[in-house]
Formats: sequence, C-alpha cells, structure tokens
Amino acid sequence: MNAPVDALTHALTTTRRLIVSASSPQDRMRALYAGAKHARDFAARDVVTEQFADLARSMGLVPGFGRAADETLSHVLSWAYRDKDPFGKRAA
Amino acid sequence: MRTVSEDISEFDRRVASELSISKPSEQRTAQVQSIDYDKFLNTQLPPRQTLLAPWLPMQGLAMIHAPRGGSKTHVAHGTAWAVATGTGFLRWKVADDVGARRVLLIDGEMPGVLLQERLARVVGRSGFTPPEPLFLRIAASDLVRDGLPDLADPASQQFYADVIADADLVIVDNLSTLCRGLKENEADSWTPVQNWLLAQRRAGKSVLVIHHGGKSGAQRGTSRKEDVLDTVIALRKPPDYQADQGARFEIHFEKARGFYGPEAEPFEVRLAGDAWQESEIKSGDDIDTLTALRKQGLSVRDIADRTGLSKSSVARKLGADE
Repeated sequence: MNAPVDALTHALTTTRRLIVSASSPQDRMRALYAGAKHARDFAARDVVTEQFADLARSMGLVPGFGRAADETLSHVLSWAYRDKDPFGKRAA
Repeated sequence: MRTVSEDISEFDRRVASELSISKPSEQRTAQVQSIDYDKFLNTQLPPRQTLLAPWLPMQGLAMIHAPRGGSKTHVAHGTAWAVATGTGFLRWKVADDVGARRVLLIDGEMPGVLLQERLARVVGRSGFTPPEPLFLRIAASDLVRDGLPDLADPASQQFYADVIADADLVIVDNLSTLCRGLKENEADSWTPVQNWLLAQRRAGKSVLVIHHGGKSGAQRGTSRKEDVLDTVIALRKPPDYQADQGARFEIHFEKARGFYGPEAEPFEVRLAGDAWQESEIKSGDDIDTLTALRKQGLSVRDIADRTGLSKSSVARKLGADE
C-alpha cells in the first residue's frame, strides 16, 4: 500500500515528471511554472517557492535559463505565485 | 474545505489543462517563398512613415549614444514625450497623419525618484499631454523588487512581452543595465539582442536604444550593433563645454538611413532654464579646440569639415601638439 502524500509533495512529484518528459527548455520552464502556479495554495509562499526552486536546481534547469538564470527562476516562480503569465501572448 | 485528494485531483486537472493549452504551436511550418521582381515592384506596400521626423522611422530601430553625463536621458525622455503627445522635440516633429503613439520607456538605471523628477520636468516644459496617460508607460528597474529581466537573455526576453504588447515605440534606457549578459566587445553576444530588436520591428514597433559612448566618442563595443539600425545619433560635448553649463551638447547623425542633407546636419542644443535652445555648431580652429575635438574621437577629416581648415593643416597642427 502506498503511503499517503500531501498535496505539495504530489505537486512536486508530478512537476518533476512533466519536466522530465518535456522536449525543450521552454517546455521544461512552462512545466515548472504550471506546477508552482497550481500548487501555490498548498503551503506558505516561501515554502512553495523554495521547494520549486530546489526542484529546478536539482533537475539542472537553472543553467538553461541563460546568464541571468537565478533572476529568471525567481521571476518565473514569483509570477506563478501571482497567477500572471510570464510567457506573453502566443501565436494562434 | 477540500480534502488532500481533491486538492491533488484539482492540481492534476489544472496543470494538464494549462500545459495542453500552451503546447508549442509556433514552430515554423511554411516554406520560405520568393516573388517575381515585376510582381514585387507592383505590390502596393504602405509608405514608410516616421514616428519622429526625420530620424525615427515607424517600425524602425535607432540608437542614441553618449558618454556618461552626456544628456542621453534628456533626449530619450524628450523623444518619448514627443511621440506620446504627437508633438515634437527640438527640431524634430511628429507628422499630423501619424499623431500621438503609445510609448513604453524601459529604464534600467535611474533611481525611481530621479526618474520621476526628470519626467516631471519634461511634462512641465511641454504644455501638451498625451490623449490618455497610457500613451506613455514606464517600466523602471528601480520600481521592481528583483530588477528587470536581462534583455540579452532569450529566456528572459519573454517577460517583456506583455508590457511591450501595446507600444508603438519602446525605449531601452540603457543597453548596459538592461542587457547585462551582453559582452559589448563580442559580436556574437549581440545576436540575442539583435534578434529581439528585429522581432519588435516585425511586430510593427520601433525601438530606440540608449547606449554609452566609449572613450573614442564612438558607441561602446562591437560596431555590429549598428548593422540593423536605421539611425545612430551621437551626443557630444562641445569643445568649449564647461561643467556649469549643464545640458549642452551637439547632436550628430552617424547613420542616417532615409534622410540626408540639412536634416542630417549636426546641431547644438542647450537647456536654458526650462527651454531648449538650438544653434548651429560653431568651432574655432585654435589648437585647444582641435585637441578637444580629437579627444572626442573625431577624425582629421571630421575636424577639417568642422573647422574649415584643410585636412593637412589639421594634421600638422595636431601632429605638432601630439
């Protein structure tokens, strides 16, 4: 029998799986953003942000964000928490 | 109150929904196409207009560079206000059929209080207002806790998409502070910024980039920056400039695509009280003036043109002094 998990742990596990299956750096970032955004009510803001930042770092996502990697990660998670889209309008 | 399992189900549903909506759909599917020259020549294309005549084209890219304290921001703010109000700045005008356009001023350097003070002066001097306040919007690094994202980083450029969406003119003040990943002397590191500029142009926008000048008087870093630009303006201190004269500088068009003659001639401006005064550039031909011009990076030919001396006279006088 599987041990019960809390919602945040489930969110992190699911997001990790989505990041692994994403085919481009852009899609990996979108997966991280989507996971953090919809998990934002699962714990205090600093906890959610820290957990998802750790997830990004542990999966080697951060160097792919470019030279301002830490700043970009911070923006993605900050915007996720505020339910704002950092990716702009996409082509139809 | 929802249970944990309801939370988990809802999370799965929302994440799946969000990622399926935002699946990549912008991969290029169309082949590159060509058109016969006669059809091309007979194609009705809209005439190229200027946001601020003669130097800032609609869907155009321009750069203003000057050394530190060289009044770059004065010109940037004056240009922003002129376009947003549909009026003019210095001897440059917004055409009646163009009218007021939306401007986004991205400031990466100035403290918020100082930016507010500078803009208040521009507004106070003008006597005009934009049709609506949203015609001039400001994104300032100093007003954002984490600063503004790096425009030289392709992954960060997308964070500007929303704020830029409605703007006809985007002013980037300045390259050093907003393109932090840019290695100014490396042509390759300019590519992401250039791609971003070209993307804005394709989207129908104009971009004015503010940049620092180097010690030689040219813009700092690789000259490849100038390849895609329609206009490059250098702001230079007059050779007899005194620090107590404040904002007094010369305007030189180093690159002028689509205009020439009197419109491309350099001129001098000075902020006297609350009004800009313009004058022709006058220059003596004494050795101190020649040396000062040389230190600003002017070539012997430029100095000769400016002073009325022959090139050999300039070279001889400078040679004796150098």
